[in-house]
Amino acid sequence: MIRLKGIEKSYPYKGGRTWVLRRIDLEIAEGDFVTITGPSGAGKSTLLGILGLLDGAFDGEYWFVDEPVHALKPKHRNELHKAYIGFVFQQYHLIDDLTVYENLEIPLSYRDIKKSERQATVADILDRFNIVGKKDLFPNQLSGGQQQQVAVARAMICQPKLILADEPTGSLHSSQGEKIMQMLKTLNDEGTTIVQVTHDPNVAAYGDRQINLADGWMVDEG
Amino acid sequence: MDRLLQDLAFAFRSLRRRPVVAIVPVFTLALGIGASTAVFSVFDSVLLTPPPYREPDRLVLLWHRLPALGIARARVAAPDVAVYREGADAFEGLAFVAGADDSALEGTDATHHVRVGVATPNLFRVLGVEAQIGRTFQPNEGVLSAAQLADPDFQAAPGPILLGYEIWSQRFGRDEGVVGRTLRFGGAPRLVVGVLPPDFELLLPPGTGVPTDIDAWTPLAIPPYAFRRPEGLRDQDSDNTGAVIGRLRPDVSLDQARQQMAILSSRQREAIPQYREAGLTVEVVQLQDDAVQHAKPLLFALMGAVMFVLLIACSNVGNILLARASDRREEMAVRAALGAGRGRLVRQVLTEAGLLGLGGGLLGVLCATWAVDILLAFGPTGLPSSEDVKISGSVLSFAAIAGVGATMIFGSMSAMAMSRRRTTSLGASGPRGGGGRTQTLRRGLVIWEVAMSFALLVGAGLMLRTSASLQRVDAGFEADGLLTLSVALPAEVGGPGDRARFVDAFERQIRELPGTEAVGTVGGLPLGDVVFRQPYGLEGSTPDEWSGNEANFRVITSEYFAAMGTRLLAGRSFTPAENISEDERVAIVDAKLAEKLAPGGNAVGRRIGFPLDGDPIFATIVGVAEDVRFHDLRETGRETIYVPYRQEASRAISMAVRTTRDSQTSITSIQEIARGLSGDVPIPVYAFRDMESFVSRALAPTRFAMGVIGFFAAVAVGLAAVGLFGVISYAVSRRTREFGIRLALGAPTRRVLSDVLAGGLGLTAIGLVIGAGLAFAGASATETLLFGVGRADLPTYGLVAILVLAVTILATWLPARRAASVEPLAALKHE
Ligand SMILES: Nc1ncnc2c1ncn2[C@@H]1O[C@H](COP(=O)(O)OP(=O)(O)OP(=O)(O)O)[C@@H](O)[C@H]1O
Ligand SMILES: [Mg+2]
Repeated sequence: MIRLKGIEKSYPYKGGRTWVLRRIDLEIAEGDFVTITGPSGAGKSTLLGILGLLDGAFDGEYWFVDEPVHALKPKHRNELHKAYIGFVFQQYHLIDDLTVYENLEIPLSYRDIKKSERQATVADILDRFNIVGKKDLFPNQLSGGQQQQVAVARAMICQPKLILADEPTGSLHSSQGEKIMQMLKTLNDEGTTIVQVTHDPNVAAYGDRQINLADGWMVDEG
Repeated sequence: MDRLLQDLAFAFRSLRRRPVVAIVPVFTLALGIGASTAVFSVFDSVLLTPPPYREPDRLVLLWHRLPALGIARARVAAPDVAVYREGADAFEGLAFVAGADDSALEGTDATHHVRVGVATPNLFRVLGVEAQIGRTFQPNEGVLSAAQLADPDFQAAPGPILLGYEIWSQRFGRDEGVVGRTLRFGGAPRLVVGVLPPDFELLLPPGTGVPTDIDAWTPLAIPPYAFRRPEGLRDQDSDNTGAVIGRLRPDVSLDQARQQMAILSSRQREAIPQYREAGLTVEVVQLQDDAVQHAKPLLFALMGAVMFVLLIACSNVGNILLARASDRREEMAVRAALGAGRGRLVRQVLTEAGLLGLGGGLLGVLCATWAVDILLAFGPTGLPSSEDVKISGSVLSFAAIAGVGATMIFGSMSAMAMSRRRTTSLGASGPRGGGGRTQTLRRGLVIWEVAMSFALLVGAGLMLRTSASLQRVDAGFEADGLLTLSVALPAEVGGPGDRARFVDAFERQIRELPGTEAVGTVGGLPLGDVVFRQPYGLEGSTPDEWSGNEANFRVITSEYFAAMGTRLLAGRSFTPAENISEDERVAIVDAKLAEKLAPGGNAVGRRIGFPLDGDPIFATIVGVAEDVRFHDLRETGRETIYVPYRQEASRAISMAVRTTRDSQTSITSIQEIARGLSGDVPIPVYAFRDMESFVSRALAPTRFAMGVIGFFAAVAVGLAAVGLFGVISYAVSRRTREFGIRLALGAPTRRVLSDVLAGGLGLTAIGLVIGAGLAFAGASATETLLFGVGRADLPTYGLVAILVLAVTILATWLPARRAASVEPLAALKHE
């Protein structure tokens, strides 16, 4: 599903460039459950953003479902993203002006799903995450952990083929984290490909493959 | 003091770092203040500055009202002036201005056309104007006594003449020795008694029949009482009627004067049947008020336009300052968190605003002086000359205070907005969407700007349509290739027969010039300032039944219609023989009169009665000409009677020459012909014009208003676009993160684009609705300026709305495009 060849990412810095990702070669097959780990600043989020087709500014080749992402126009890339990917941001990135319910509904409405169907889907996911009581609150009325739960729920709601999750359980109590990981595992068992970033070894253990990043380099893939 | 300097230094530095923030408000303010001051100043000098007469508010004009004839204002007949002088003690004096004669001043090298005003000798005493050099007229100077009037052999001594300052400067090089000399005007000797001051000008409203460009003044030799008031006829002969200026006694109010005149006019109605029938009353109005009345709609339109621009400029400054406040909220929050006192922050922001206001104000003063020159250079006649317009201090301070005040108000608002949010905006994951209040305010300002630009553009559009309608008006002649000139025949040419032969010879020589297609003579050209009307009646009517009818009256020669390009609809023009012989009484009428005389039928062959040289005559109609707009392109005007020049051979004539040659060559040749025809007394030919310029002069006020309003509208739309662009860009930059999330969640690009566009268009739509209301109100207030277009003209409103929409779409589209093209991840990092 994913093939990276010599992916590099840099930012201009003090007249030169500072490298964030170096020569990443990686293949992820459909149905994989991959965990990315590494110290802070290693480039994990950056890599996830590229994988998630949210960042087109990189060097190297990226093949996604046999499409050459490195050669795609942003519009085309966005369409691919929309068709395949659910993304959980490290900073959650909920929309402040929308309620929990509305935040969950947005991805569905962008996919032109009928209102009644949307209502059913949102109700179902609220139920699964146990946040029915919060549906009319705004993000700033939620705790950090609750916001994270909504962010994960939002990534799942369209039943994407690939879920990319940047520290999906970072702000959660371990039992809640476990519940989310269980859900991801279930999805994975049903065929959804999952790539997650985490610092937590317990969470990392859910994956069946681990990738370590350090200073932008891939080290000892396990 | 120290702290102030520090604040100033800070403000300078922070403005220098963001030059756009400094330049845009300074220039918009300067533009607003400059334009409004200029127009206010012109307004001021036209409407508010008193004319240079002694106690001008005690000067009044008398008009006759003849309601039964549907005439709101008629010139006062000379004998009535005598009646009012006798019967009313409300006035220190009543002066009668009969009009002006075109004459020739014989110099050593050449003769020059001069326009000599004729008035009772007390005119200058009534106005309270002293001579610059020498003196004005003494009581009854140059006026014939009853005995002299009765003596047919009486030979008057050279009458006195008062020179205007301009002719004294131009023709006599300001030689004071000219006073006391006897000069020859149109062959008659005149004793120069004085020179009028440079700022003297006879201020009269249009419609008095007295031209404004008078070079010199002579007393009316015949006292008003000695004029004839023809029985049964309302005489419109310009010698017998005129403008009456009075000075109220110090202890008499305008109302008391009116009451007195009411009594006198009721006596007039009793004594004179024609006045009884016409329902004569005498109107007493303040001279200054009345004289500037006609200029008011134009000036109000300009004032409105300018106020809008000033308001838009202020809104824009507010917009920029508020945007800046939002931009700097983080900075201010951090500064506050680091211990800067609230007062300190507010002071700094206000210092910056103050600097901007001051800069704009100073530049505005400069703009104002230039704008006055520009305004007057392109302005229509009737506006004062540029030396007469002083930038009034009060006006300037008004605009400056408005501009600087607006800056300070918006400055304080932005300072408050900044400091209000100083604690909350640092919370990293705290609520966003702050600054809602300034955002709302800024949206309001944009709506207001759009509304005002829309209104201004509609104003300009209506003026454009007016101008186009006026241009399309069939004035009843062909202006292209038409050269006109005026000739003042000196008394030496002789009686009517001699004059007719002279004109005939003149025409013949012009006709022989290469390129001449036709040449004709007329008593007064269309769109000129000659008012000459006569009563008339149908065949079988008696002269005292004529007074209800009034027609333009024109003497012409046989080729006049051909030269003017006025079509003959029926019958024939006058024959060359009728140019010089008076055997047959013939007349030509225009279509309007023909329709009255013979509704639906043929007027040719019918007879029409009118006074000729004061005696009623009947003439046979030989032709019908198309209608001609004699006085104003806007009005179809009244019906017209043409008679052969020979039948009332006036001395002030104009000629129409249709020629293929360029006008300068023609003018030189015609001047040569005139010189050749002159005997002892030179014949002044003057006022050469190609008729196209005559027509464009008639269009000038509309064009001027259109130009100024159009310019202001363009500026306004530009400013509004800048404002809208600023607001939308700012809103977009605040929402960049949100757009990033939405794109990451699968939002199609066009959806983000349309979201932003919808925001901008929403503001514009509200602005347009308000603007339409403003435009309609403005157009209603100045409706007299419009012609051929309604104040609610749908195409104009529609087109302007489309234009404003297009501009706002552009101003919105740019930020929208930027919003839609962000990389989601980059957008998410945008804080
Ligand atoms: N816009 C940017 N400009 C310059 N450098 C950047 C930019 N964004 C990220 N970086 C750098 O890229 C590197 C990788 O950042 P990234 O967010 O991928 O780290 P991470 O591995 O996710 O760390 P964490 O575990 O703390 O989330 C960091 O050193 C960061 O400074
Ligand atoms: Mg990270």
